Amino acid sequence: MTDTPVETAVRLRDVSKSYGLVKVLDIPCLDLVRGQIVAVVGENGAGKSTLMGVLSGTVTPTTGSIEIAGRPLQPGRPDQSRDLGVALVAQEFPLVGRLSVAENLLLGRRPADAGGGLFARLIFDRRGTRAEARALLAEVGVTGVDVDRPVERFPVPVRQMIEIAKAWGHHPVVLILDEPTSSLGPVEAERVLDLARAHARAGGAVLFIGHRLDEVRAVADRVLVLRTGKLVADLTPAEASEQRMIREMVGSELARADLTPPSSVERATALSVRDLTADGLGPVDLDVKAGEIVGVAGLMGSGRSRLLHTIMGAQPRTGGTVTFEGRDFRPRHPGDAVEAGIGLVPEDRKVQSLLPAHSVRWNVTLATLRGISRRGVLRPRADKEHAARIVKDLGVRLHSQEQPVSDLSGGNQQKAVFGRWLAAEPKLLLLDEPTRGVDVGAKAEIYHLIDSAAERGLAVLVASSELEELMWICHRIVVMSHGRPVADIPRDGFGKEVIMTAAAGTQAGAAAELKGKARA
Amino acid sequence: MTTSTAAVKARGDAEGGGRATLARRLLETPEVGVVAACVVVFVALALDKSTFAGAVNLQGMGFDLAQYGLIAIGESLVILTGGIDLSVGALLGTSVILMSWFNVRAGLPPVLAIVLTLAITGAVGLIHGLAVTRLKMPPFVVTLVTYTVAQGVTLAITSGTSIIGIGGTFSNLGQTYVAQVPLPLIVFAVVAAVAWFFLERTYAGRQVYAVGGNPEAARLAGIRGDRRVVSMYVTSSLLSGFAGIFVLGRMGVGSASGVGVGWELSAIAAAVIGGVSLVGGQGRIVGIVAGTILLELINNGLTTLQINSNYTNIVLGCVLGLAITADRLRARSVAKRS
Repeated sequence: MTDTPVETAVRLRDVSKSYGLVKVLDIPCLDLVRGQIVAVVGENGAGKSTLMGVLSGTVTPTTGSIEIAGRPLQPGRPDQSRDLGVALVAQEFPLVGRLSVAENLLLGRRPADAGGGLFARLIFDRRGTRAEARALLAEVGVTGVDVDRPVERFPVPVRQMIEIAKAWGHHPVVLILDEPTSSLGPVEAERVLDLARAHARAGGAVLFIGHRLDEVRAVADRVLVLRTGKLVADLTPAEASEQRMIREMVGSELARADLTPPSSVERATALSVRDLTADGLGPVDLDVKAGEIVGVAGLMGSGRSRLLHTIMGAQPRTGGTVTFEGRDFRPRHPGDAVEAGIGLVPEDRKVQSLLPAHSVRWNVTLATLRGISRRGVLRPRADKEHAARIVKDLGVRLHSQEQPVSDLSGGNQQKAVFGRWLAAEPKLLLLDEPTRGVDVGAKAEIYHLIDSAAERGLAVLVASSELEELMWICHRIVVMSHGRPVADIPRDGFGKEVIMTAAAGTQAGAAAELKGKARA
Repeated sequence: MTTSTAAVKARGDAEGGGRATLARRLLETPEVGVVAACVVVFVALALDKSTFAGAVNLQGMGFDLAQYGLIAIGESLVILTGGIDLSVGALLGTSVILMSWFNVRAGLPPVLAIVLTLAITGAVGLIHGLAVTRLKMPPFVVTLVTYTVAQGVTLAITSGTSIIGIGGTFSNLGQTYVAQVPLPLIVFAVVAAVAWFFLERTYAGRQVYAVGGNPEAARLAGIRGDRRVVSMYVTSSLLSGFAGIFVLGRMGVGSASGVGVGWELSAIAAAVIGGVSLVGGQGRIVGIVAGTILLELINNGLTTLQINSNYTNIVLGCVLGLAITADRLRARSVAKRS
């Protein structure tokens, strides 16, 4: 592994990446040395994934040069990056679900002891593959996994460990771990951190992307902070206190004392949920008043999104009642919810909200098409004026409303999605991670939008993994754990500790998990 | 580029919007290439062979165009929803036979034969749509079944012999001229206009694009996409039956062999040449019609130039390859500049 006597494992010079007008990564100079664990922290959209993509060859940088262990990396060549010794453990696992664990572990390469003959080259060596797979799993500390079973049959934590073993099997120089512990329990998480340490000791370089700042502090020899694509801080472990890291991550935007939700909440109950159950959810009791902003906090998989989707009718409910605007409400399709006056801004913009190839106009008018048509016929003038009004009200920055929505920055895309729903004049707005992948400036604008919507009497239910966000904008936070609400905290009782304790529930050690998610 | 200049620029453009030059706007219109190709091919052939632009040849092309164009529109509607309909050609062949069978063997008046046949094709489309939406079956497979069965039905009904003696109504429909223009061509123009209006000017049409562009986003925006998808499959099958009327009228016999075979591929090719994206959600009627016209011009032009018909498919295939490459390059250059 250490056959080249180069101290520097990775050398980046003037590397930048732009999508359209938006520069998402801009690193003039960065060296990673062998034997160190370098942690990269930053808010969502700070450029962490892009940096990893550039190193692993899946993202072609717009400018700059990259050297891995002294050899230049041709941009945008994942295979070459791998040959040079970069192994990436991704957050979303590119495992082939139907193939067995063993086949996945040795995907794209051959067992080490396979012969070089023509026969061995052509024939899949089942036994060798199996043996090497078992050895690999043992090396990363996974036991009791049948290597012949298809990967898709295993739960997510096991799959994450398999993914790590797969990267480990390439004997990399640079091991990139992208939030490797987010889906793991405390025991496995510790094992992964140990692996990272072992790799650094053996002379490799580790790039550790983390959200849990306590974990970052525990493992890193050096902490890099990214903000809007730029390297804003390069800290030693001693300097990298949690407060310091947060300060660097959010920049000057920390002063937000002015951000409080509108005070007047004396209106009628808009949404009333009783004993609501669905797959992985419930029973849930919940009330939201008109003009009230209610936050939904909880760990990953606690049922935040499910609650919103079930209210929207996007996921079938198995029991319970929902009363909306005083009437019993049983949506069978999100269309029913839209007609009743409910809007949903889903979590994943690209997959769940946008028509990426289509114009901004088409995207913002999607939920109100019927309303702006006369007997089913769209009038181009009215259509354009309607879209122009939405775009202007929301302050979406664009060239023209006919440009594809995918050209816009994340923040402007999200504002367009908000515009789509606000134009439908709903009475209840369901927001799932409303500021994910949105830059800091647009975040403030989106908070303002939520506030003014609530002022006009909208009931708002916000699910978010960012605790600060909820604590800034909500009147009340409902904490969920294992699919059911476990606490209902009024604004004057807000505190991270309170929320974390509630979210962790009976699960030991889960408080740390939420802590990481809260980025605090 | 700094944020401030970008913002200023964006504001300036948002005000006017019309500052984009004509050339740039043309480049961003996907259908430009195929329309231009139609004009070039037509002018070139007309200059080379005076017979090409003669009334007789133009009328002949009009008949062809109507046949292929009708199923190309149906096919495109299905492709827009993100599906594919392999059965349009085979179903056309079957509806020709069904109409002649109802008319000749069952002794029904032509109009009734047409209505019955259209009802059957509509039902087939309904089955396609329900299988795709309710049972989540892949459109390719569902329509492949129909493709096979429909060809089998054609053979089973006729046992390989053509049905002769069909009513005069069919030839009236299929061979009439209105002021020198073939009636089927006028019908095709009307259908194209209706399809254009549906896609561009109705909210249901916009929803078809939304469902094809991103089904999950459309669902969460409250669009009942299944209805749109089913209706597009029904329309596609109905248009196959409809085109069958003109084919039967033109031939005068219920031919058992070869009618409609492979036409689905021409329809798909016309759609793709016209800028319809096979993943769904993108494409316009202008392009689809132009794509059909271009294929017909080339097909007919090769005959006019007396080029051995065995070479026709090679040329058509190359045109298809050229069209998708050109479209890819254009899309890439647009993406790069923005």
